[in-house]
Amino acid sequence: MLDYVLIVLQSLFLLIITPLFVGILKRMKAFIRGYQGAKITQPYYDIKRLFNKGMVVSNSSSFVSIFGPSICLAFSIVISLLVPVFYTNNIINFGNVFLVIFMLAVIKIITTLIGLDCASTFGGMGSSRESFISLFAEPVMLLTLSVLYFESNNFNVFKISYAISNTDITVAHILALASFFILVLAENARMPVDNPETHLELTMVHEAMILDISGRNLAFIELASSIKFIVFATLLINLFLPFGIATSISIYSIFISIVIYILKMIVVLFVIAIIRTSIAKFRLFKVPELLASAFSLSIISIAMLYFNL
Amino acid sequence: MNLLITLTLLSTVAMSGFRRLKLMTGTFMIQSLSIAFICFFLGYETNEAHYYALGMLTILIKAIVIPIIMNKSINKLKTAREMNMIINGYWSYIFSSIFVVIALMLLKNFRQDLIKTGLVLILFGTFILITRKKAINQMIGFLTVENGIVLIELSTVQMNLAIEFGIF
Amino acid sequence: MELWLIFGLIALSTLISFLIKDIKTISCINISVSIINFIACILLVIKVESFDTLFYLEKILFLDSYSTVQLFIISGVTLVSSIYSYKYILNEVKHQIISIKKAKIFYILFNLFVFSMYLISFANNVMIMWISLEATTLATAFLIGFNGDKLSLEAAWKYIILCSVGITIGLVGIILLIYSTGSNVTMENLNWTYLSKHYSTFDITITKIAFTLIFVGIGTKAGFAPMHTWLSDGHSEAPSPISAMMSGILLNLALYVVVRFYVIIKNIDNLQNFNKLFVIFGVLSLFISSFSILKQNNYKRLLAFSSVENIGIISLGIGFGGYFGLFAAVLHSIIHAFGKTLLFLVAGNILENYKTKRIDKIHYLFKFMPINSAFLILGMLIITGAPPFASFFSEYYILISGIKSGHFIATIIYALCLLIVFAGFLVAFMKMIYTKQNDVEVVKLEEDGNNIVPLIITLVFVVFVSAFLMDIYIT
Repeated sequence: MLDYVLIVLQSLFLLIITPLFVGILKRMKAFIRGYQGAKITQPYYDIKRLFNKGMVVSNSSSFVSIFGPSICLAFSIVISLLVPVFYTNNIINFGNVFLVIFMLAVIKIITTLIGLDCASTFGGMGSSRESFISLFAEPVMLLTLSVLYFESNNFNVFKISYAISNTDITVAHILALASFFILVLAENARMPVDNPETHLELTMVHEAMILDISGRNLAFIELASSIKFIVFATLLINLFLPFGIATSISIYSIFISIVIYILKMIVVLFVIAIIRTSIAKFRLFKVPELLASAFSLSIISIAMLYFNL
Repeated sequence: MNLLITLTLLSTVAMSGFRRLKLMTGTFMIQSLSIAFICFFLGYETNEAHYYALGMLTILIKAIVIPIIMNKSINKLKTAREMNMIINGYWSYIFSSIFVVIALMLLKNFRQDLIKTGLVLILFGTFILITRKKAINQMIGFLTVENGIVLIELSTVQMNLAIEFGIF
Repeated sequence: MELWLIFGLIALSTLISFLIKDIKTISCINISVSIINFIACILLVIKVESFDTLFYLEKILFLDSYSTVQLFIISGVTLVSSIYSYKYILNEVKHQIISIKKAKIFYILFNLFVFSMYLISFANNVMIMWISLEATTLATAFLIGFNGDKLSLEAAWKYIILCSVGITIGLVGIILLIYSTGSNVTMENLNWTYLSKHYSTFDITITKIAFTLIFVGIGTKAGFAPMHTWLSDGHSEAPSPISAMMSGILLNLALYVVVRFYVIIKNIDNLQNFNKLFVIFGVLSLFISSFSILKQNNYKRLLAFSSVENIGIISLGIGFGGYFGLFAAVLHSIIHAFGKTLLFLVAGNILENYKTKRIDKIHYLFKFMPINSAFLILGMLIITGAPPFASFFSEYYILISGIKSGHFIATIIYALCLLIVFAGFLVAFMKMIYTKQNDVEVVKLEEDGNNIVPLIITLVFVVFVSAFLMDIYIT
C-alpha cells in the first residue's frame, strides 16, 4: 500500500518540479552564453500569467484546438504516474514501457492534429516535420527499449529500473544510453533537431504547431510538453543510469535518492544546454542521419548483448 | 575500462556519417585518445612498461601530430566537407551497423571486449575508406583501421616493443 | 657472412645515394652492389643446399630451400634492373624530365625497396616478414608516384590505400593465428620454424578465420583477382625498372608469405581443404586477367594483367599440390620473374622512344627498333609459355597435376585461359611490331641499341633457368 502512496507522491513531485527544471535549463543556457537569464522559477510565473489570459480561438479551427491541449495535459499527468522518479521496486505491476512510450506518442499526435487544425501554413508545416522526425525516431525507440529488455528480461519500467540498478554497467548499456539521449533530443524538439526558442524561423517544428494556441490552452500545452521532456529525461536517468535510486522504503534512502535524482537531472540538463549552445541546428534532412546514428548505436548494443560482449 | 571502450565505439560510429572534415579529425582525435587511455589502463593493471610506451606513442602521433597535419591541409582546401559520398550519411550508418552485427555474430566465441571493439573499428574504417572520395577522409578511415589493429593486438598477444612499433 | 654483406652493402648504397651528388657514381655503386649481392646470394644458395637450413641472429633470420629460390629471383632481377636504371635515369636527367634530386630519391627508394625484399625472404619471425612487406608498400608507393603527374599520383594513392588495407587485414590474420597457438608470445614463438612445428596446439576455428584473413589480406599484395585493381595502374605508372621489380619479385614475395602461412596450417586436421582457396583465387585471377588482356590498349597495363595471370597460375600450382604442382609453381615463379622483367624493360625502352603507352599508336616496331622487337617477341614467348622455355614445362606440369588431383573444371578453365592469353598477347604485340603505317618513312631509330645489356643478361638468366635449373630440380 505504501508503495502506491509513494508512487503517487513521486509523480506529484515530478509534476511540481518540472517547471523548475525547465527554468534551470534556461538559466544554464543563459549562463553558458554569458548573459544573466531569468530566475529559475520563471516558468511558474509564465504559466500563471497564461492562465489569467483570455483565449483567442481561430474561426477556422474545430473542437481539436479547444480540447486538444487539455487532453495533452491529462495524458502527461497520467504518464508521470507510470515512471519511477526516486523510488522503484520489483513488485509494481503497472508501468509497461510500451504504454509509456505510446502515451507519449499520443501527446505527439494530438499536438500534430492541433497544428493541422488551425489551417495556418505554419501549423501544417510543423506537423509534417514532426511526423517526419518521429517516423525515424520510432524504430530507434523500440530498438533501444529492446536493449533494456535483453538486459533485464522485463518490460515494466519499474522492474527494469530495479534490475539495472543492481547490475554493472556494460558497454552495450552505455551505447544504448547514447542512443536514447539522441532520442530525447529528437523527440522533444531540442537543439540539433529544432530550436525551441524561436517563433520566427521557418524551420521551427514544435513552435510552429502551437502558434495559434493562446491563453489557458497554451499554458496546458506548454506544461504538457515540458512534462513530456522531463519524463523523457527521467526515463533516461532511471532506466539507463539508475544507480542511487531508492529500492526500499526508508526516509533516509528516499531523501538520498531525491538528492541524487536532482543532481543527475541537473547534469543531464547541463549536457543538453551545452549541446544547445554549441551546435547549430541541423537542416531538416540531416535529422534522419542523426537518428540513423542512434539506430546504429542501438543495433550495435543489441548485438553486443546478444553475442555476449 | 568499459567507459573507454564505449567512447571509442561512440566516436567511431559517429565518424561513419560525418561530412565535415574538421569534425572527422576531431572525432578521430577522441578515438585515439581513448585508445591511448585503454593502453594506460592495461599498463596500470599489469604493471608492464610497454603498454605505457604504446599509449604515449598513440597520443603523440595519432592524437597530436596527425590531426594537426590534417587540420593544416584542410585549411588549405577550399571545400570543408565531403559533398558527394558514395553512400549518404543515413544509409552509411545503417549499413555499417549491419556489418558490425554480422561481424559480432562471427566472433561469437571470443570472450574479450577488445577484440570485438577492434574488429568494429576495422570494419568502420574500411567502410569509411570505401565510401569517401576525399583523400583526407580516406586517410582517417585507414588510421581507424590501424587503431582497431592496435586494440586487437593489445588484447590477444603481447608482442615486444620493437614489433609493436613496427605495427605502428 | 654473406648475409651481413648483402644488408650492409645495400645500407651503404642508400647512404651513398644520400650523400653523393653525382648521379653517375651513385648508379655505378648501385650496380656494383647488386653484382656483389648477386654473387653472395649464389654462394648462399650453394651453402643452403649442403646445410638444409641456416639460422642467423638467434633464429630471427633463416634460409631454407624455398627462400633461396626467392633470394635467387630477388638478386637476379635487382641486378638486371639496376643495370637498366643506370641508362634510364641518366637519360631522364639528361632530358631534364627529372631533377638530380629526384634521381637521388629514386636510388634511395630503390635501395630501401630491395632491402625490405631481402628482409622478407630472410625473415623467420612472422612479424618481421609482415613489417618488411609493409615497408615494400611504402617504398614502392613513392616510386609509383615518381613521375608526379595526375595519373601516377592517383595510381600511387590507389596502391597505397588498397595494399595497406590488405596488409592490415593480413596483420589481423597473423595476430589471430599467433593468438590461436594459445602460448605466451616471445620472440621465439613468433618464428616460422616454431609455428610450423607446433601446429597441433592450434585452435581450429580461430585458425580458419586467421588463415582466410591472411590469404585475402596478403593476397591483395600478391594481386589475386578481385583485389588486383591496384596492380594494373600501379605497374603501368611506375618507372620501368621498378615495374619489372614489382611484377617479378614483389608479387612473388607476397605469394611466398602466404605460402609460408599455408605450410604452417597445412597439416592441421580438418583444415586440409584450404588448398581450395588457392585454386579458387587462381582460377578467378586467370579468368579475369585473361579477358582483360584481350581488350587492352596500353601495353604496360597488358603486362600488368599478365602478372595477375601468372600469379593465378602459380597459385593454381600450389593449390593442386603434389610434387608436380609445387615444383611447377616454384619453377614458374622463377621463369615468370625473369620473363616479365625482360618484357617490362623492353616496354620501358619503347616508352622512352615513343612517349606513349598506347598499342595503336605504335607501328612497325620491327623496322624502327629491330633489336627491341626481337626481345619483345622472345619475352612474349617466355611469358605465354612457348615450348623451348621453362615456362612451357611449368605450365604443362601444372596441367598434369590439376588432372592428377582431380580438379577437372579448374584445369579446363586454366587451359582455356592460357589460350586466350596467348591470343591476346599475339594480337597486341603483332599489332605493334608488324602493322605498317603507310605515310611514315621507315628509319631505324638510333636509340634502339641504347639499353640492351640488361635485356641480354635477363635472357641469359632465362636460358640458364630453362636449361640447367630444371634439370637440377627434376633430378
